[in-house]
Amino acid sequence: MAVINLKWPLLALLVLFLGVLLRIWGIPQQPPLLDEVNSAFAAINYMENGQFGPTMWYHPNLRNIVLYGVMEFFGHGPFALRGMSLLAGVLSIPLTGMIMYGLTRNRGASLLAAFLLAVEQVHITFSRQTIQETWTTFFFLLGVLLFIFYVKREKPWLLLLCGVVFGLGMASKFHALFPLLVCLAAGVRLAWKERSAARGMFVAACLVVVPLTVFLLTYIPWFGRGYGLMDWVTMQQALLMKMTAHRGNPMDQTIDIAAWQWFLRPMGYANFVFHEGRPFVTIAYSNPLVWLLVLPATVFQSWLLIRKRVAGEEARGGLFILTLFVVSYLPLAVSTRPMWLLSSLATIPFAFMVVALVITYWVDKVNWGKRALAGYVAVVLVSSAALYPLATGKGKHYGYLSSIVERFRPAFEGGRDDDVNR
Amino acid sequence: MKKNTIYHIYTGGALLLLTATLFFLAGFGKGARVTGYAGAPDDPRLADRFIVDRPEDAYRIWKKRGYRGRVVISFAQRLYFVEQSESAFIPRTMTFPVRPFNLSKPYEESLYTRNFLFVAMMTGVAREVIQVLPEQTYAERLKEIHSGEGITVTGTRISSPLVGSPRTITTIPFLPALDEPVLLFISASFFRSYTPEALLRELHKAGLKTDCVVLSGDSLFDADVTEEERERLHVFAKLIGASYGSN
Repeated sequence: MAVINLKWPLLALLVLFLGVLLRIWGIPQQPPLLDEVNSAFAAINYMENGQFGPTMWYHPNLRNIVLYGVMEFFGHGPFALRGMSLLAGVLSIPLTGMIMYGLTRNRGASLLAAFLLAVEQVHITFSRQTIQETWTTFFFLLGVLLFIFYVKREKPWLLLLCGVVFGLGMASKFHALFPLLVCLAAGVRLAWKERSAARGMFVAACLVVVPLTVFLLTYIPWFGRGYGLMDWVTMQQALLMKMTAHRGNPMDQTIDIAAWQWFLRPMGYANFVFHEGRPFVTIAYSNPLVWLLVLPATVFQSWLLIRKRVAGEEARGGLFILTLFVVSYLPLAVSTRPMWLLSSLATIPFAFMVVALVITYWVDKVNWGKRALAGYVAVVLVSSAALYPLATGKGKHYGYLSSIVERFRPAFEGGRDDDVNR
Repeated sequence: MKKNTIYHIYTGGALLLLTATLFFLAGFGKGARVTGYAGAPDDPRLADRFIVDRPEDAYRIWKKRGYRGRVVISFAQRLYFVEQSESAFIPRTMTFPVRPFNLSKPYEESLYTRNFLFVAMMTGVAREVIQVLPEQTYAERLKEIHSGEGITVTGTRISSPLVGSPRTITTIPFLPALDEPVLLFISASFFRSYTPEALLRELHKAGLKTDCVVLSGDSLFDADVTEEERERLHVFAKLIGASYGSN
C-alpha cells in the first residue's frame, strides 16, 4: 500500500490556518475606518444612483456592487463589510503557493512563498479593511493560476474562465492589468510557436475581449444614469487623468509615498480614527526581513536564468514569476505620483515568490541549508508577531513599536491645502 | 472536434458577447433618459417653458417633471456649482454597525441658489452640465482656473468633470453640437452681454433642441442682476412664449 505523504498538505494547512487567524483576530473590536464607512455609502450611491463616490471614486466598481449585495443580505457589521476582503486575503495564501507549485514543482518554495504572504503584516492589515486592494490581488492570482492550468491541460474553457477572473480583477483595481498582460504575452507566444492564428485569436479573445466585457458590465448602474458608450470612454479618460495626477486627499499621509523605495527600506501606511475618545491607529508596516530580500533575490534569479544555472520547468517557471514581479512593480516604481503602501499588494505575492525561489535554491546548495531555512522562518515568524499589533490598532500599547507609531503622527495633525482650482 | 474549430467557436462567442454587451449598454443608457417633446426654444409646441424668480426652482421643476439622465445647458454669469462634500452628510461613525443611506436625499435638502446645478448632477437629473458664460466672464475665469488634478483648460473650454460626470464651461461660439434635446436654463444675468434676439439667434444657429426651458429672473437673491437684464429676460420670454407658471 502506498504511503501517502501528508507532510506537505499538513504544512500547507498550518500556513493557511495561521493566515486565517492573523486576519480575523479582533475584527469585531476594530472600529470602522473612514474609508470603510464611506465604502458602505459608496456602494449604495453606486447601486441606487449610479453615481461614483464618496470614496475612491476613480477606482472601478466591483467593490461597490459586491458590498451592496453583502450588506443587503448580511447587514452592516464588521464581518459583513470586511468579509470579502478577509476572504480574498485568506484565499490569496493558497493561491500563491499553488502558482509557485504549478510553475516550478518546488514544494519547499511554494510553501515558503505562501507562508511569507500569510504572515506579511501589510497584507494582513489590508485584509482586515473594506478596501479593494486584497480583492484585486486575489483575482489576479486566481487568473494567473487558471492561466497555468490552461497551459498545462490545454482546456479552452480554463482560459475563458481566466479572462472572466481577470475582468473581475480589473473591475476591482487597474493593477490587475499587469499580470493580465504577462499572461496575454505568454499565451500569444505559445500560439506563435505553434504557428496557430486560431489559437492566437482565441487567446486574445479570452484575455482581451472577455475581461473588457466583464469590466464593462460592472458599469451597468452608471449607464443607468443615461450615459452612452462614448460617455463611458470619456469617463474612463477622466478617471485615468485623475488617477495619474492624484496627489492625495487632505488627510492622506505625506510620508512613505514612493513605490521605488518599497524594497529598499521599511515603509508604512497608517489609518486613524477616534474610538472611545482615543485615537485608534492601524499601521501596515513592511517586514524588512522579507522585503529587503526582494531586489537582491530578483537580481540573483535573473542571473541564474541568464547563466542557465537552472533548467527545464524550474527555469521556465522562474522566468514567468520574475516577469510577473517586474511587470507588476516597474510601472508603480517609476510613477511620479504618490504611491502609498497599499498599492504594494499588486506586487508582493510575486515578490515573495522570487524570494522563496532564491532561498530554496540556496537551501539545496549548502549543507546547513535546511537549518538556515528553519531559522529564517522562525525569525520571520517572530518579527511578524512583533509587528502584528500595528495591524490591530494596538501598536501604541507596545513600547518597542512607539517609534513606528509616532512616525505617522504628523499625518493626523495637519493636512494639505485643498486644491484651489475648483 | 478539431482544435481550431473549438478556438474559433470560443473566439466568435467572446466577440458576440462583447457586441451584445455594447448594444445592451448603449440601449440601457439611452433608455434611462427621461425626455419630453423637444424642439427649438421658441417652438410653440414646447410644453415646458417657465419663468422663475430663483435659479434653484429650475431643479425643482426638472425633478417634478421627472427628467433624468439629461444634459443641462446653463446660460448665466454664475456657475451655480458650489460643491458640497459628502462628509457633511455622512455621520462620523466610530462603531459598528455602520448605517449607510442614499445620499440623494441630503443633497436635495442642501439645494440653494449657488449649488442647484451641482445638486442636479449628484441626484441624477443631469448626467452632464454645460455652463455657457459670457465671453468676458469666461476670460476672467480662465485667469483663476488652471489645469490640475482632473481639470483641463483650453482657450475655448474648461473641462472639470465631477466624479467622472462631464462638466464643461465654455462660451456661445464653442457650444458643442448635440444630437439630443437638453434642459435649458437661462439666467437674467446672461443678458448683461447679449440681447434677447441675439441669444435666440445663437441658439438657433447652434441647432439646440430642448424640451424644457427655465428662465430665471434671479430676482430674490442676486443683487448684481440689474432691472435692465431682467427686462431683457422678459423680452426673451415673450420671444419664446414663456410666462410665469406652467404652459
